[in-house]
Amino acid sequence: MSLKIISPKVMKKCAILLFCSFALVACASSPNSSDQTRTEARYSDPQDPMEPVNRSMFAFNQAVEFGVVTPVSRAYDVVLPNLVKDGIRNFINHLRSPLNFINSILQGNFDQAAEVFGRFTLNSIAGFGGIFDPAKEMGLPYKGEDFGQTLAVWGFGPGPYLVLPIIGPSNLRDMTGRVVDFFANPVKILTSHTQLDWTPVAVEATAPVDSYARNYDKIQTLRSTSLDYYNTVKSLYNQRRQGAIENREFSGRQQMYGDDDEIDMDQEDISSLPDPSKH
Amino acid sequence: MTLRHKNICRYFHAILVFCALMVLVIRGASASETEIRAFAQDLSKNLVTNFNKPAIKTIERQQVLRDYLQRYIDLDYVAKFVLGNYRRGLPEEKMTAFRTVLAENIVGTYAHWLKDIPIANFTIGRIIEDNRQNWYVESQFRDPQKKQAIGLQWRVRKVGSDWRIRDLQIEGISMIVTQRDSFVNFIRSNGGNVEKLISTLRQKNSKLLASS
Repeated sequence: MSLKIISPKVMKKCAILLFCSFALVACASSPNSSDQTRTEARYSDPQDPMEPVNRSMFAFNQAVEFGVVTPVSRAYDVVLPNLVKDGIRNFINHLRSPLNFINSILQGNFDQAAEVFGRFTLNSIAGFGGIFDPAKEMGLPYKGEDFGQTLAVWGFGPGPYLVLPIIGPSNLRDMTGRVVDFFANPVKILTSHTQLDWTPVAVEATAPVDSYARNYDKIQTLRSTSLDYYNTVKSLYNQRRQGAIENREFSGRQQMYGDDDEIDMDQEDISSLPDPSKH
Repeated sequence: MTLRHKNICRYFHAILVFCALMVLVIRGASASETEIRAFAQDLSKNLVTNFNKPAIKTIERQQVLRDYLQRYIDLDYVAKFVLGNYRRGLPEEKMTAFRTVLAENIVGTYAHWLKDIPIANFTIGRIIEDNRQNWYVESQFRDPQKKQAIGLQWRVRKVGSDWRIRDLQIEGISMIVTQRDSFVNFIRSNGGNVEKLISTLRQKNSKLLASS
């Protein structure tokens, strides 16, 4: 079955997809203020040149969240016992493992690829097909790797910040990565043209419901304490992605503070700082 | 004593001096680590004791947080950091006004978080120094309702003679970076007007403090 499916036709499709993703991401760069009026550039976030459109999409997503995601995930949280929810989450992570493996290899992170492989094998056998996660107990926690991260490791910039319908916060690079991951997912390739071809779509639909249910309280608190929820979500997304790309451990934490931490703020000469009103 | 013997003596002398210096450096580092561990344990013990009371009142919770802000947080640094480059040329009186509203904002925000998330089984893990005199304290507590472990990392630094927290990272998300992104974008979208941020924060604080 699998040999028939991974045919030259599929390989060709993947190659075209990969080429398109390079072409798209190669265009990803910070916006050029010369393209905008000086006033617009001064008042807008350079990483978010499409802010008005993004904000509209954000409002739409919030409506979907209130109308659909919240009731579904609340029902999911209340009806299902923790053991079942853990099983669902473990199984989703398990099905993503082949993709994590491929992306770890593409990033040149062979140690992690070996860990992912070990995790997958162990959970397939001792975890009853990935429903349980004995690998985590043995010191091999789940680590997600996607093609967006791979592109980042290869040196592609994030491009403009985007809010995608239903999916939520992203950027040009991660959006491209998402598309490539969806079509190049080994689980999708192996299950297409079979009775299980709904599996990748089901995983993509269930994962956010599970994640939302687990973090519902935190999301509500964040919403009520934020000065501007849109900007808070943007910042959280960017930090999380950067952390995932760097596989950040404690030793590398200081870089998240950027240049502001270089200065001893007790003695800094603030006149030396760049004027924020000039881009 | 031959020249060769003299050279060997010098060589061992140098090694001894080097070892003595290394011992001093390591002892210095471990002394800081011990101080930080004591600081972290003091704070975590106070957090668990004060916030897990079954009938802690809103006002009481906020007052305890104000006290913690004074005792444990480097508010001067946080205020400068979250303003990004907009702290450039900001007059001292505006900076003071901003520090005041920021302090109340932190109290309101954390009072909210601590109301919803009970703290239990607080454990202090590794303590690591970076190359900029900052120390990172790894800690974890369990949310007994969700049965989830929540990872907290505190970035601490010696300010004067006391240790002070400069940032809190929850599951890898930095609180001050999040706040800076939010504040800087707000100021930018309001034409660089820091006063607008101060007045908006004041309004936000009154809502936060009333509901936390």
